[in-house]
Amino acid sequence: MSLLQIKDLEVRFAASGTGVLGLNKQWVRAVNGVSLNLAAGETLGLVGESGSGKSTLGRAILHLNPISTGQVLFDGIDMAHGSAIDIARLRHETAMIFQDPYAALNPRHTIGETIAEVLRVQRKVPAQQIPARVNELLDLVGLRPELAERKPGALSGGQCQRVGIARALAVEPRLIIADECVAALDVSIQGQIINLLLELQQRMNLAILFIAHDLAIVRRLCDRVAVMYLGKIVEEGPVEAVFTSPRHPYTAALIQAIPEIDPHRPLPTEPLPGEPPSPLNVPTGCAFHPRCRYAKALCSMVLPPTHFLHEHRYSCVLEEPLTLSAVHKQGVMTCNPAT
Amino acid sequence: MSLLQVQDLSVIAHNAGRDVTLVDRVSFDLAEGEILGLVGESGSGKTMACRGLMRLLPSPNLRVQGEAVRLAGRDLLQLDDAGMRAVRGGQLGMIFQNPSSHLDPLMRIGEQIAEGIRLHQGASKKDARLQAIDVLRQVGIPDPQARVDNYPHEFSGGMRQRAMIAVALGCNPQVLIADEPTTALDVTVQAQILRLLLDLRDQRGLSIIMITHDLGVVAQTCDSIAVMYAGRLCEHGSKYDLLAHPRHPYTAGLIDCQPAHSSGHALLRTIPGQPPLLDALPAGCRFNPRCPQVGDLCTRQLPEGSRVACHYPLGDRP
Amino acid sequence: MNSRSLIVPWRLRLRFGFRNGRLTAAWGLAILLAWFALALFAPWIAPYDPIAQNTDLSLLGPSLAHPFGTDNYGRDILSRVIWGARIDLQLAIVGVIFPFMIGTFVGAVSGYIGGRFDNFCMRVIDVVLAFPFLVLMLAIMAILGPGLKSFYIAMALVGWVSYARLIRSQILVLKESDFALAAKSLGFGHGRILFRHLLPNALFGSIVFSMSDAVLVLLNGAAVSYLGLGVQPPTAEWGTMVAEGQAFITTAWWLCTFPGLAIVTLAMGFSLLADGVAQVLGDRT
Repeated sequence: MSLLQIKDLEVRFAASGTGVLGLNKQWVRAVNGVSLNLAAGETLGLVGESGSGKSTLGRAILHLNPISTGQVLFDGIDMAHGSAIDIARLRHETAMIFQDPYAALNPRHTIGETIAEVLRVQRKVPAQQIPARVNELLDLVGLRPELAERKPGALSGGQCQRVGIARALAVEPRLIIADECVAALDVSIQGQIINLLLELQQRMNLAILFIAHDLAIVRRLCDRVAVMYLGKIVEEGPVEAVFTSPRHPYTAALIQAIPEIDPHRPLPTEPLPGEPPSPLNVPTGCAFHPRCRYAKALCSMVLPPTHFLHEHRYSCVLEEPLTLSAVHKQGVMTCNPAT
Repeated sequence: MSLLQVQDLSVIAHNAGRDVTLVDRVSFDLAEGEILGLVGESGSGKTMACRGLMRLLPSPNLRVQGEAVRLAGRDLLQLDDAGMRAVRGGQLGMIFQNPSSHLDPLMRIGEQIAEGIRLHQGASKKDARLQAIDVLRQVGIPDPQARVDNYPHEFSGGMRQRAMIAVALGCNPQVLIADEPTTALDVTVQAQILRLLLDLRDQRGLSIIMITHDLGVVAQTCDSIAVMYAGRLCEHGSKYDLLAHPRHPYTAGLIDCQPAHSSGHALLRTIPGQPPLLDALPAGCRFNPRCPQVGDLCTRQLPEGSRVACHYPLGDRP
Repeated sequence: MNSRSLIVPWRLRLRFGFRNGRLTAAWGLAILLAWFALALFAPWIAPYDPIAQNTDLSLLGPSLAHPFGTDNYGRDILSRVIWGARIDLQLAIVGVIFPFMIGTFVGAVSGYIGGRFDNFCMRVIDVVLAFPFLVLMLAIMAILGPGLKSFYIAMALVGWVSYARLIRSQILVLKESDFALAAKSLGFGHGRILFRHLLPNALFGSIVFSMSDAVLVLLNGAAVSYLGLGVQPPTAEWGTMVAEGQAFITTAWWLCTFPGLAIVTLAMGFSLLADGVAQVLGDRT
């Protein structure tokens, strides 16, 4: 049974500046009908660009954003319509790691206080064992115990992110949502954090929802990946399947657009045109059709059907695989039109 | 013959009676039409070096010194303020990471572009406006006749970056310094902007210094690469040589760190530790605490070298 | 702006220590401590009884016996200035503390709760701010009667609005910060988030403001006493002294000058402290 089941989730915000005296308000559908499953011990990557709604989805799962419709089943209990006790249980079993390592920590508290507070408020261990547990957690993330006396300003970005992870682990969670948690770090430090997450995940059988825009990292870290565009999931499946044979044109464009470190592989001469549109002006029919080079007349009129191929699903009118020509031995392909 | 020759450029911060070197004697060349990738992580000094080149340092506590900085034969370090101002824009342009903070929100785009054109070329208002429309078209902004009168907030993120490039291009510089121009952009928009920069180089013979932390961007767009660490230049060479056969352990480490470089769920390769504080540098080579090939000389002597600054470069070992 | 952010520079990898802020703050503190000491030890330092009248000695210029001269009632001005320090220091400090506490509490809660409650509080603040400050103070004091106690009550009722607005704007920003969201995700209650996490980070601006506000309160107290509604004679207070000395400004300049200088130096003390603290704390953040 899945640890986390999301069914047709919608998160709507009132667009600021619209609506006079509460009438005629326009709604931004940040998350527009998303369904996902996550099993215990599994890592799911959630990728997308700006306006995709991936961060909003992550926060809605943890009940940090109000949910408009749909269900979020954590261990079978619907948190979208949950009571205070259910939500409290969610808080005791889930945690989030944030993008900006400094902003995620209270700048006036020492590291030790920050972690100890979680232990105290959630009553994870008896009071006299708190200092020992703090040291244990710091050790788990590779930080020396002396750092417990320091404040975030005295630590590096990588160290602060480790503290963020330690704080998340203090909850003893079963699900961790990592919201772009390595994007703000140097490349040589990113690997350290990713490796740490990999180790912890295996040790503790954690389920991780890894929200990112960097496909290369997602490919290394995650078991499955879901690609979001303007509030909907356009493709989802096992990482290798999606990366080696993407079915949705947007996924293919994303893969193609990532600069590879191979100097012999040039930049696409015709990169994906346009920009991710604002969620206020979602195009009719398939939201991606204005930018899609395979768009047909049908695409602007109706929502695309969802195809299921074993564990790999995608929402597009195209039925044939995008034919791939192997250019790069490391498995990232350029895509040619099927017809 | 190089268009831009930088020799021993240093940027020194003076505070509370102490001098801290942020950029330590960096030297590199840039030919006409060449794209140089200046790569480094935070604290490497890559942005500070280019700011020093343009003498656009953010604080009076910082000063530039060096042997020479020759642009088309003229030594920029010898110029006074007025001379430098003529060079900035007209010969040396700069674009930045976050277009929203570098475009005047209260001025129309056309006016911002035209301002530079009028200043550096002495054109009339009408001519400058026509040139501005032309530049907007060159950077790929659709319907430039109409958009020339828009304010920056009416452009989307990628368009704003194009507009900023237009402002820099309007003055017709020979060298464009691009400070992390795509880091804040969506990846599909990044591909567009990089393609634009490459096209501009091909059409105008523009030389570009691309400051970035992303080796992927460098591999796709640059001709040569210079790697910086803790204020010093580690390695400088052609893209193909450097990426295929890195000679400095830091360069090799950076290449290894790229997640795409190995596959499967094995752990990523990393460089242990973190970059040093610039006022508490280790003795000898600044990379030695993190270097997997640290040798005898490394903790005692600072390595020098224009192509590779290492006592025991990789590939030289048996 | 999409979620892809800058590579965070690790505090520029330098540790700078700015001395200027500390020096300024030190000077300010020195002046304040000097006045505080004078006020504390007034019974032992002041050469004469501040309210003892002696018409034989009236309007004497500065001399060895009376370094600041005497006023029209023959009272020693130096002693009155020293004793007056007690009242004026009290004015400056107490006149800031109550508005600070009330304003901070209301502003913080209002900003945190948001919505209609916040709207309501803001309108109340707008109403209070619509009245000229001094007019409102005097109106309240006229109802309550003259004296220091009414002054403090009036200050509390009128002065809290600036603090409320300051704190509210900070809380509104901090409410959206990542560490506040993290606290929420960890199941911390509202009270804990507001008072242990948000408020301490929001106080910086208010603290600096309060120190320069002390200057204004001091001047207000002096003005109010000058107008006869504050401290009542014969208590020595610098504002009243200046008021009473006004009539003699051409003949006996020392009646106004020395209390005036006292007001200026105390105000400067607060100002320098505020500047210095702002610089030091500002550099650290």
